[in-house]
Amino acid sequence: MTSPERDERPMSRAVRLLVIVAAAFVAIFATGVIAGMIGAAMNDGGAHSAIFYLILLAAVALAAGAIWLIVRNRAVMDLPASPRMRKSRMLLYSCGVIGIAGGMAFALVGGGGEMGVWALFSANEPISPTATLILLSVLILATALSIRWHMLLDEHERAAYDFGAVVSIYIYFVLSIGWWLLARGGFAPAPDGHLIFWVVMITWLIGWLIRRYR
Amino acid sequence: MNNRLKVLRAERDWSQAELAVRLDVSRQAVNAIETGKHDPSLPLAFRIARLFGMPIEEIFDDQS
Repeated sequence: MTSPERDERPMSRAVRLLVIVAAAFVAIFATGVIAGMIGAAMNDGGAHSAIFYLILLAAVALAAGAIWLIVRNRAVMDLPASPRMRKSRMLLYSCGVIGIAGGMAFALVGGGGEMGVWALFSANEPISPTATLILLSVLILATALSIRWHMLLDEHERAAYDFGAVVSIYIYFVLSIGWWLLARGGFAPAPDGHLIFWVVMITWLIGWLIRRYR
Repeated sequence: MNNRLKVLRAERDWSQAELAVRLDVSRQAVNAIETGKHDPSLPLAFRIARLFGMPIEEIFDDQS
């Protein structure tokens, strides 16, 4: 008989995946804090207060903890044995790597000016022409890979993706028209297209995750 | 739709992951079909039937 422990519960997989994503964000944030503090210390020279070293220690501990969480849950990222699923997963990981590389290149060329890498999340902050070309390249490459990934999905995942898409279209419809009407009636400021975009994308992601791992 | 996928899989001592490889779908897809959260398409139902060497109606039941 097949023992139950060989059939992993899908929800625990989804939770572990979310833990990895959250830990990756924390690790990037903590590494940024460490790099910033070391850079500041090298520029300043001289001694620093105890609080400075405490914050540095806390950042190192945070980075180490986040990396430990990623390593502990890494099995969730193992490639499936099925050839089509393996190819599909590799394409998904490739999109992630390209996105991270694009973000790092953006930071390296100083594309965000004073806002730094946070300019990526701003709607109106100007970015340099070099950074624009880098981000456009990432967009085109990641879109091409995403289309290929979409073609390799199995029917269950495609249904989950379609479910997320339908929910997010409804959110887009209600949010954009509702906000527009509220603004015209004087109840709200003008609609923020950037905010609506992120709400729609996040809704899509949540819909997809819920339907795939429920 | 009810199905006997879990029983048939257990009789062969296959894990969900092993069955997923044989059907060329994700493990989540196998789990969703077994728990009735996803009804397979006709092509996938035929693949499942061929794999177990049984007619589709002996694996899937739409009476309840």
